[in-house]
Amino acid sequence: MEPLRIDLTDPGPHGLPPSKLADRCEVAAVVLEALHAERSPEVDTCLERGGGERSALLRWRRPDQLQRDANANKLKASEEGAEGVAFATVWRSDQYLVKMRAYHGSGADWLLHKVGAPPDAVVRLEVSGIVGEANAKTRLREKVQELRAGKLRRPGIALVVAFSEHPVRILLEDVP
Amino acid sequence: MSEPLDDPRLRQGSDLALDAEKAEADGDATGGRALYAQAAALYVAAARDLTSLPRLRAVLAVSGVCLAARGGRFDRAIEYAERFLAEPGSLDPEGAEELETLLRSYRRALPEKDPEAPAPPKEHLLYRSRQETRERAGRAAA
Repeated sequence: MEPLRIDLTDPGPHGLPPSKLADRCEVAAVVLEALHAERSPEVDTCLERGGGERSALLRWRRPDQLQRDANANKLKASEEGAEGVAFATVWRSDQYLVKMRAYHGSGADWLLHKVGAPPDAVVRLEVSGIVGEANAKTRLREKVQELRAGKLRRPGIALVVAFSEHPVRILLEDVP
Repeated sequence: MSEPLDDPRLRQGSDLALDAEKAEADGDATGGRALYAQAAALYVAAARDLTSLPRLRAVLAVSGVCLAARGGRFDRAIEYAERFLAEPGSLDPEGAEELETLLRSYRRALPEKDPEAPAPPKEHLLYRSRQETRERAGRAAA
């Protein structure tokens, strides 16, 4: 099977303001460039989902110094950058589009809609990013738990990006 | 026909909600609250115009009501929730239940009304006065 091409320079036609979408992808690029400079602008990636694995290539646009300086906060960058990777991933893997920010208490960060699905078939998206040694599987379990505890009872996707590893790991779990 | 989730008011509302989060994170609580309230109005307007699809309408309605409350505008949150709940069948049962729960919670957050007292200006909400007290306390401590 061909590797899934997750392209941060073309993350999909999401329903977010273009500047906000570009911002998330730019932050992801800063994190990836810092951790995988020798492979820039593309790194091998493993998408883990439902017990299976799929190889992928994660591509980004090289950030300039101004962009690197603006995203020096590692924790914030890993969280916002993970959102950029998540948006590009759900688009490439399932044709999900981000439609709106989820409300506080819904258990999710974002609400998605799949191309061609019934108009009220909203899916929740909960995202996290890790830079360093934190356990990605533990983080994924936490995100799944947050989705299950949320007040909005709709299907969800929990997604965690482990930026530091090579290949980069994207852990995705569907929560019915 | 355009999809309901492609309503430009939702995109604009999300934009404002993200700006509100950023303002809050940067320490501008007042600016953040104002942006949340604006985002709420857009979500609510989109929900009101959605006359079919009760499940989706409920998601938008609850989003708008929650954003208004996050902006400290419990008066508006209550007004929005009451208006949606006044249209039976326009929301799915789960969404209606969620709005009922929020309504009860926000009513508790507002000060008891003295029937003899003149109506207070809408800005004088419990949330705001608490927030201002906190801000004053913070300044005094500094």
